[in-house]
Amino acid sequence: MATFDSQASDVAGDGAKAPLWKRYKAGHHWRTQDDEFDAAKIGIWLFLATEVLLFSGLFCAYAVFRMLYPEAISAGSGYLDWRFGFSNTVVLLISSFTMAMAIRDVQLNRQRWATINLSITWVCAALFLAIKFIFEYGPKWAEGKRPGNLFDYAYASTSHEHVWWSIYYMSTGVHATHVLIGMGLIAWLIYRQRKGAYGPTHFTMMEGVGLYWHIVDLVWIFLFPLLYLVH
Amino acid sequence: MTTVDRALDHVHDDHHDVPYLTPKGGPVATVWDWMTTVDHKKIGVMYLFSVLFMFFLGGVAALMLRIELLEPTRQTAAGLTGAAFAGGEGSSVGAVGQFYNTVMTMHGAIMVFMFIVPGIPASLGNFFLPLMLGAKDVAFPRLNLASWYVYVFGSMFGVYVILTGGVDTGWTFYTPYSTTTDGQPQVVAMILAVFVLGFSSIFTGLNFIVTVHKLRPPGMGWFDMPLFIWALYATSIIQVLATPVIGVTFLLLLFERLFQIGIFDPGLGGDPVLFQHFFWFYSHPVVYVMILPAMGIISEVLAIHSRKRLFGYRAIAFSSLAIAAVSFLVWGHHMFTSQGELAAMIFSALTFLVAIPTAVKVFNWIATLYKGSIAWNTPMLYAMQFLFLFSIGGLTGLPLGALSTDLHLHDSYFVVAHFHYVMFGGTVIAFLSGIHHWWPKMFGRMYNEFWAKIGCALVFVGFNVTFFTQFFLGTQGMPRRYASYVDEFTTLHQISTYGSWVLALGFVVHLFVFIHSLIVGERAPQNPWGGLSLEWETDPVPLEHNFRHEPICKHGPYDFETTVPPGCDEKDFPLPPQDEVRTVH
Amino acid sequence: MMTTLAIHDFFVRLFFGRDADSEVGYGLGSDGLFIFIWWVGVFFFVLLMALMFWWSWKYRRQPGKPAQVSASHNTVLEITWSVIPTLILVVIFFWGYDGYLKAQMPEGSSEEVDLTAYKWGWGMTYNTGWGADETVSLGSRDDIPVFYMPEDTPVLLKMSSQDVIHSFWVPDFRTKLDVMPNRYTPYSFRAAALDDADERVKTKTVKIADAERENVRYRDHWIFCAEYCGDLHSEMGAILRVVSKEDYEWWKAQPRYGVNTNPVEVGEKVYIGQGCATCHSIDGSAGTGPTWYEAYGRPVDFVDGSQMSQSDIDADPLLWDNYIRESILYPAAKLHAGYGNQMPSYDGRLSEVELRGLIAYIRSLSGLDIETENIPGFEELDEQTDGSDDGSMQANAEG
Ligand code: HEA
Ligand code: HEA
Ligand code: CUA
Ligand SMILES: [Cu+2]
Repeated sequence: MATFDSQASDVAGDGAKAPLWKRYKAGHHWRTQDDEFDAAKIGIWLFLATEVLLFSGLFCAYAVFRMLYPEAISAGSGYLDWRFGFSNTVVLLISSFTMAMAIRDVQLNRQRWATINLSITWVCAALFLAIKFIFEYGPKWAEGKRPGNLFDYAYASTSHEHVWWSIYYMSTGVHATHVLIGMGLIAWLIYRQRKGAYGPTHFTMMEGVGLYWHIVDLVWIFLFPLLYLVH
Repeated sequence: MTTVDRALDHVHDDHHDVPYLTPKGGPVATVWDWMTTVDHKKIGVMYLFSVLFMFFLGGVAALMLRIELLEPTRQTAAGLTGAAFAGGEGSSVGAVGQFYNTVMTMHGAIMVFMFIVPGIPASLGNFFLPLMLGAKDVAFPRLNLASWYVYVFGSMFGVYVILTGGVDTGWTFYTPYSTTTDGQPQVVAMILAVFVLGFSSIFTGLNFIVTVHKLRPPGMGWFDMPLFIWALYATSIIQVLATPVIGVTFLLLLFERLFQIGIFDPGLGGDPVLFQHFFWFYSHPVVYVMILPAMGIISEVLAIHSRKRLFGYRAIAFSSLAIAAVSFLVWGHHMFTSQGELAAMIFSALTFLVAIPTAVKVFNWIATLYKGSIAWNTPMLYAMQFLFLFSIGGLTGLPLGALSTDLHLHDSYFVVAHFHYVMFGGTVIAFLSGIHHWWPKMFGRMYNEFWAKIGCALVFVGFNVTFFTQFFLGTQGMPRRYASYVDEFTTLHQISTYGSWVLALGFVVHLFVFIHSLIVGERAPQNPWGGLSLEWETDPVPLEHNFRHEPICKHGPYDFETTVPPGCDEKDFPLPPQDEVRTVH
Repeated sequence: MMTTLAIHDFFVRLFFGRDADSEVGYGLGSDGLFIFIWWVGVFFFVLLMALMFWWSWKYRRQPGKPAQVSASHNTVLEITWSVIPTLILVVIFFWGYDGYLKAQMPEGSSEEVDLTAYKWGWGMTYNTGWGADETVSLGSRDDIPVFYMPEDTPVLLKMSSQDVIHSFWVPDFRTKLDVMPNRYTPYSFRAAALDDADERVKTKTVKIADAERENVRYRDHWIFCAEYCGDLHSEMGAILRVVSKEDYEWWKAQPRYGVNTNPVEVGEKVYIGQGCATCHSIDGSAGTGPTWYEAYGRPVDFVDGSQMSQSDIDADPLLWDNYIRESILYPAAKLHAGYGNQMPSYDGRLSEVELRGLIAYIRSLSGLDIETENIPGFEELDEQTDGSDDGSMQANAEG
């Protein structure tokens, strides 16, 4: 009963020596392996659509409060250091690139390179979170720049800064959660890829996670200017 | 028309050639088999029982509401139903009014989030979508099972809330009431429940879209699909696109409730109307998630039981998509009393736009009956009841969509009557029609036609008595969500309550018909109604892998004039003179 | 023509009980639109159901006979039945929009009244500073206020809420509007003139404190809260009483207590009339704010850790009086431990007489002797400066 990545088919199949990806068989309800791959891809794209809508809710909230309290929002983004945001943008862009490379490697059966690229992707994701927590969340929270009722910053210059921080923490927090989930998925990919599960004829899971990772990146590309650059 | 012969039959192992209902060994093994199954049929059946159970819970809550409303003052609930209600004592249900309010919330939230939204797609849809496509399963079977578990898990939160005293926010969770009312753990549990149920909804929707795209038998074009599939497809699109928005809304609401982040709370500079916009951006499209699958069932039932090609097939198919698209643009009609003039004007106009494709469908259905061969059996009677009740429900949507009249009718019992006519008179009635229509295929047994018709009649009478009165209550000024009321409304409220008892009786009859059928019902033939869509080509009880041979599409789903139905005798389902058919078409 | 009107009236009566008592509803207003939609609905519903029942009976299944052959689509027919409903809907839309604008736009130079909603009640402040004076009962409550309004005059209610969202609905006027916690919303109406043929129009003698006015003709309308707001949502009612302009002017200008009103009674009126009752109980039960029952004269701990001790109270007989005064005018100044900063300030909203009344009332709830001496009337008090203690308070605090 395969979805994207069948465990069951690992054991079955012919010549035990052949790598896992060669032995892969589509789920029994598929006519061909290509159909299964296409289906998985449509599925992922639909899932990405839901992600976009999820974040668009947050973007709408941002827009509404920008209209309601323009000073608070611009004062708020003034507190953010664009250099951290920018570094994180670069980090994510690199990771997106290595993710794409890893898929390419698998398609060409360059398994060693695939491992390396996946690992770089994972490290970049971790780096992103590290920058976020060590240089941004940590100090800000400590200074009292917190959302809503938790707000406790003595030098606030406008009246609704706590709303800004709510938007900031909610949108970057939901995004960071996605990065965290992405790290889990990439770790799983590394594990499976080391076992030889993906190769030129079967890389559905790689493709899926790859697309997910690009959308996480893309969301950040929108968040970065909105939160850090537009005052 | 599809005429595809597939030379290659799949080679399959005999192990799977047993009817899907056949137990796997002892009771433990069987239960284990069901709990871990990825077979869309079993998941569909599990979903069917789960949603019916939730419907029962919601229905009991409804009866309690009606009992409280027997008298203008607040007293009945405390004495009569209070004792019966789980957690009535020592829980956070305080005053009598609060008791009513929590029951009202439970009723609405259970009925919407746990019964009617998953309802038809996850049960009948799950069972029949692959069968009608001649497929062995949905695209992602494990995701399908996950969806059921997520649904059960989410519903558990809901049940927890009931057992520990309830939430009193109404199913709409308007801020700032929902972020300030007592009962923090219950409100949080309820918000989590809805959040979690959203995933189950997305899983099902996503699965169906992919299945329709990739698992149609070769040769079955988009316009050779049965209309139930079209309806499910349109529904799924709404589910996938709207649900994430309620997800993020409830995430924000959760944080608002737990940490007062000030997005919706006016006390902290937040905007409570923003919550309403977010909420209805999901919850309006979701009313079409409720009604589109019901419309799909009606299309199937009307065609098969009157042995007629559906009038205006394409118009019906396209109007499903049109409804799905426009449904995203009308959410503001729930907020005419809380938003600006320009917005109100635009939303009102768009609301009327969405009524047009619906009207087109109704006309097409009625036209289908013309010169048919119409069977007066339970599925068909329910389909006619649907046309009757849904038309009333839809037409009473018009004064709600018109601005000046809505200023009066908003949040009155007129709205309550409107949405029960569309949700109960539309969706639940169609669901009942579909359950009876496909019952023989699902369980391999016939139901008792006589008693089912009695149940059908009781439901019809009971429903109208319960809810038609509420239109008058509404226009005369009875606000909704009232635990007590001024004396002049007493008579109408009492009639409504008596009606709800007749309605409940109807359901008890149906319950017995179902139990009776499962235990001693006559064995069903392969194709009792003479259907032409592919699900009728399976064994009387479908096999584990659905079809003995990959089905061969020799005819479209509505070619009743030229095709003797599979598994049927021409004596029972005679064809008209074929030369006449050729001249007319 | 006569019969059409009669039929129209019949349906208006069937649905609404009677004609609307406001311009927006009356005649071709929203009632007219509703009845129009009703006829559209009846037309299509009857047509469709007649066809459905007729055909499903006429073409019922007969053993051995197939369905007759007929076309399965017809472009002309399908276009017709899409276009006709569309045209009707266009009419409904514009009619509704037009009525909506009339309901939303306040007419120029209207009578303005402030309205506050809270859990669970309504308060109105007229431009004389006074609010409602009488109450009636509804369900479990007997503190449902009666608000007087002038007939045939444009009135604008400037509405706001103290807590959650409520909605102001007068069913007889056929329109409602949400009351928001974070902004003002305008509810405007022009109540139909009093008509002696109307059986609802009655006459009574209105008493306000010492004053009395005979033969006041009036007509009552229910006010309901239409946005769900919790426990007593269903009993958050009020009466809107339409009277003649002269009666209205008289009513809103009368002081609500007389020279002879006992201060405790003044306090009680304020307690109910100004919404104190929402948060402060007088029977010791918990609420949003501290209870008043046996509160006066006891030590109090404050949120910031400071306190008002028994010895302080004994040393300064006016300490509690001043504490109450401060808490009403500047609620945030000293916060009672265990309660949030939720009370709105009443600075400028209560007169000196009312403040003293409240203090006397709270004191009475501690079972302390009640000062029965009369307090000066409204006008008199304005002349005295509020520094002048009349001594009676002091005497009582010691008791
Ligand atoms: C199954 C669910 C369902 C469906 C299908 C509908 C369908 C429609 N609804 Fe309803 N609605 C609800 C469920 C549904 N609704 C719920 C749950 C609420 C309340 C939520 C809450 O507040 O708790 C609500 C509330 C609601 C409101 C807000 C009322 C208020 O709170 O003030 C409005 C306002 O515009 C509205 C309008 C409509 C319209 C115009 C349609 C149209 O789609 C109807 C179209 C159908 C027809 C028109 C009838 C059939 C056609 C004919 C018989 C042919 C002739 C037709 C013409 C001439 C036009 N609905
Ligand atoms: C699918 C949606 C749905 C359904 C089916 C119903 C069904 C019913 N509802 Fe509804 N209702 C809502 C959705 C629904 N409701 C919503 C969304 C609200 C708004 C809540 C809010 O304001 O927040 C509402 C509010 C609402 C109110 C208004 C409360 C208020 O505003 O104060 C009332 C009052 O009469 C009411 C009554 C009823 C009744 C009598 C039924 C009856 O039809 C119930 C009949 C069912 C039974 C009696 C169950 C009996 C079953 C059996 C005996 C076993 C049968 C078992 C099998 C078939 C397996 N409901
Ligand atoms: Cu106030 Cu409902
Ligand atoms: Cu809607």
